[in-house]
Amino acid sequence: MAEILVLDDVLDAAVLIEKILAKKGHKVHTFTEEEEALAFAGSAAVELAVLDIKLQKMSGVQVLARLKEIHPEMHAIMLTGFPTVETAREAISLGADEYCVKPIDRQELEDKVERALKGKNRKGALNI
Amino acid sequence: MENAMDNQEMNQARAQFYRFLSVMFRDEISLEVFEKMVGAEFLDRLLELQECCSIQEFCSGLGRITSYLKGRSVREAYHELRWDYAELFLNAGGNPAFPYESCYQTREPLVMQEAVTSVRAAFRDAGLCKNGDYAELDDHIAVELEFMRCLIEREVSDTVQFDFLRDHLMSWVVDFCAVLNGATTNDFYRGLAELIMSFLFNERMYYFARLSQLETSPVYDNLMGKMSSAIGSLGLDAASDLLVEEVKPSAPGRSVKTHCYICLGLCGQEVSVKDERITGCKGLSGDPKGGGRLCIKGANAHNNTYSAYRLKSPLIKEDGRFRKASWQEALEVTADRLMALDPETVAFHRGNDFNAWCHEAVMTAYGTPHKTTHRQMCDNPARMANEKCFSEKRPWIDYANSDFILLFGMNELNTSAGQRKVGLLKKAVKDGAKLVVVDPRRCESAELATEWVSIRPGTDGAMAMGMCHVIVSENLYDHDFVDNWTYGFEAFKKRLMGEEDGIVRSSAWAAAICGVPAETIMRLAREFAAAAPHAGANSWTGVAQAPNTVHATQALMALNALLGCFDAPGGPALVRKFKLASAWDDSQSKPPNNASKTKLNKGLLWSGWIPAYFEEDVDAGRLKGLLCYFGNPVMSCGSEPSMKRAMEKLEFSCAIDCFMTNTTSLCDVILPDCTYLEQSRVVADWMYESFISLGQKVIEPMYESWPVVRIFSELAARLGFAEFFPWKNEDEYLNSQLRNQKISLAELKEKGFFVTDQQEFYKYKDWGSMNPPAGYGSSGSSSTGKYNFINPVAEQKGIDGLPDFKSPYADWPDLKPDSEFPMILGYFRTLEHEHTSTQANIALMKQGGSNPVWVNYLDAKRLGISDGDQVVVASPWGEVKTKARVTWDIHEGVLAAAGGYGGKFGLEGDPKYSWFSGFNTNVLLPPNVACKWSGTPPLKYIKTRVSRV
Repeated sequence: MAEILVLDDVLDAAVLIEKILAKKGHKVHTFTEEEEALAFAGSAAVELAVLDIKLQKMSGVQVLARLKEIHPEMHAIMLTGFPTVETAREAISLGADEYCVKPIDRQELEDKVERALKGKNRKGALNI
Repeated sequence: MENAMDNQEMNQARAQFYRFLSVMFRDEISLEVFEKMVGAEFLDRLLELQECCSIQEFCSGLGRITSYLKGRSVREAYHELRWDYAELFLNAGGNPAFPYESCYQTREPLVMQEAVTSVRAAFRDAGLCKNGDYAELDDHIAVELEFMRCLIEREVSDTVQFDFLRDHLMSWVVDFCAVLNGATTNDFYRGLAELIMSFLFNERMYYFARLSQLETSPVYDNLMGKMSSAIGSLGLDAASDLLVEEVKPSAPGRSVKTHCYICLGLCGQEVSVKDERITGCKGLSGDPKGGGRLCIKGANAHNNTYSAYRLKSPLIKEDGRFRKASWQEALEVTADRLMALDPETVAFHRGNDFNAWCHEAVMTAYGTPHKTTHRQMCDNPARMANEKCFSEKRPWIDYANSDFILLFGMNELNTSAGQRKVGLLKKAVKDGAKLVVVDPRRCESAELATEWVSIRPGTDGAMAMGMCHVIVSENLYDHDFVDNWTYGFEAFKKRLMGEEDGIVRSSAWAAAICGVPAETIMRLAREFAAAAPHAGANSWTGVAQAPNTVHATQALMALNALLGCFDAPGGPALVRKFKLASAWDDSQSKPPNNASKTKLNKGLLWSGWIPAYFEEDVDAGRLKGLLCYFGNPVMSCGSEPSMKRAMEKLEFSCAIDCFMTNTTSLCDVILPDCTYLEQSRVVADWMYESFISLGQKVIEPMYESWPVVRIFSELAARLGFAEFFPWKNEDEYLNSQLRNQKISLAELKEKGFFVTDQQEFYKYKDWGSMNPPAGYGSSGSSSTGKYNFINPVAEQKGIDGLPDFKSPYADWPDLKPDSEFPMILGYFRTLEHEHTSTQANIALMKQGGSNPVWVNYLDAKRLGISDGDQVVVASPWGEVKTKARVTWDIHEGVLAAAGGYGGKFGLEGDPKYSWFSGFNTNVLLPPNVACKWSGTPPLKYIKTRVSRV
């Protein structure tokens, strides 16, 4: 079981992810507001963050950068409905483990969360 | 919007796009296809499509590609693509984009990981396998894209198609595209990255719709229709299929017995292979060299083979950048350029001896007299001291039976970690043997030692002479051995007693030079004498890589001779190797020796090509060409800036190597070599027992790499010596070499080694000589058959051949530390690296990825340096920035850093892994300087200063 932070400005999307991951036994904390998510991360353990790239006030990549300052060992999965090479590059450089495209595929999300959290096959960093 | 296509048309269009992308990545784009791509039929359609495309990333990708295609002349654009292809995908550049799924599962630069097995299973389920003619790997992006095309064309169920897309391509293509985008400024490849990522995400949506029985996106249908029409003009249907119809069952697991060559130490190794992938290496039980042990390098040797930085195909430099070449073209260019040069102006440098009988013969037939190995830069002073004074360059001590082990500048625990002798050394110390390690640095062996003697660099000869003086003056020596088995004792005694020059080599005299207290020198001498003959003294590069240390090595080796330790239980053992037969059988003609006896550089004892003088020789026109096999002389053989300048001034250079390095990158032609796990050889070896050691091929050569015998045989054919290199396969020459042995090749392959002679002591008494008898070999021979206190080579030349201490800067006053550069810098070897050859091995780099400079605690305090500070290390010849490691474990006034670092390629050069970085201590060396006796550059005697940044 892991402490997972989910941030998506669309509540339904965040709730869907929460349902998928809670069923796998994880403790999921969902947010739609960037500041609230960051405030939570400042005072609680976060092992994995699932972040939408397109948010209201900041970009998910900016949130990732801030979260990594707080929890350098934290894993991250980025979500996007509009994948671009540039955002993928930015996210990977900041230490994102995976890059998922909406609509969420349950199996894909479960696999990527498991892989991010599993020690042996964890992805390392790339400076690109 | 035009009407959407029907399913069949859509599938054809999608399949065609998969093929298009596969062709773009599978190899360099052929000129024929490229000319079609810049032609109006394709380009105009792309431009038209770009105008109406509403999928942002796809549109952006098209824009970049079209701007590249129309932005320059066809010739310029085509050549640019070739260079970029080589740099991005063939590892000719420092920031490659690895096109393999394996590399992105953990984002480590390793190929042939589990993804390959998984991909093969998917191929198998579809009744396909990778076309054997395609030299790339199963999980190459081009193969995976091509597989999707096959699935679509064969109308395999959407579920199967989607599963492969999701589980394979989609699992790594985002990373790949991001890496490709970051690695190049070429709009063609950046556009392709956008195109492929956008396409695959749209494919995902397409499958979602199909699997949910919903309408697919008409925008996407339309896009595919237009792309299909453009691609149709390229005639890609003629491209060869990367997958063929054949069900290849998963190969059964197997284990191959071989000998590790990652440090050239040849420890027995058992390599596990599953599905034709190497999955691990372990020690070979019972093997005389390793005794079942393997060091961390040996356990990760396959990660060199599977390093994603491997060179894959021949490369030729054109306008300063590399492009792919065929073997035929690369070999012809190499042969033509060599033929155009006078062989007397061509040097051959080889960093290893893998099937040396072949490449030595080729270069001798070609006619170059200037052949060398790593010998001069490594331990030539030790070899010059030992090979003619008795019969072996490195007389390993029989640790198992030793009571007193004295090692000068020799860190066995790191440099021979996997070898059986190190296990025996550890056990001996545990059981009570005394181990004394003389070293300016508290190395790993010094940690294990009963006593660490911290000594000033370059002064081991003084300490050894001081010990010899105690032994002789106190009459502790073995009169029987000295009288019957040595030559020159009286002259040596005179030297010790100062009868020639009035300088008695007493312990007090020695102490003033080496900084070791006289009492310690006397005590150690007496203890060594008391333990003898079950005692041994030995040395390696810690002594040899300071100037003027031939006589120092003779001095410390004289301890063994004075006390009759040679070949005694617990002493330095005399080597005998049961010789192999020739690779040429009796019916085959041997190649001619066309090399003159010219000696390019003349040292006092050693003459021949001395690479430390490379720049001087090139400037003088004495050298104009270089063939370099498995070596990195630019980084290792002398001042790196000087070596680099020399390389750049050569008329022609060719490298045969597995990796791009600071040396290969400066060559005109590069030929891709196999690692040792992809080729075979047999050698006569020794580790207390004499044995035959098989280096057995474990897997077939990867990519387009060739075994070294094939490379040199093909080169020989083009140099006009085809008839002398007739072997069709490895077994032919292996069988020839084994024809005088009591074991067949088949049996040897089964067992891995064969012991010809058990360990014996005092062999020289039976032999009647220190030299092994006929049929056996060792690396030297004594002209008197005895231990020579006077070096016979020196004696013959009329120069000083007696053991002694000689000032390191006697011949090169500039080397003497002064007030501006008061410290001495050297490098050391670490357990996890083998000089520069393991810096592309991720497993080993994770163990040691940088090389901070060691600074003595008191020096650091005086200089205001704290542990971890950024510092500048400067010599009169260069400067570097690095981090300081402040420690008590190094002699005051001495600096040291691990060797092998400073590569501009591999993990150190790759910005993706920017946390791996170090520096080469050789950038601080003076140019064109080498020991006048041995030709060894002063790698561990560089005057420097260190200061905080």
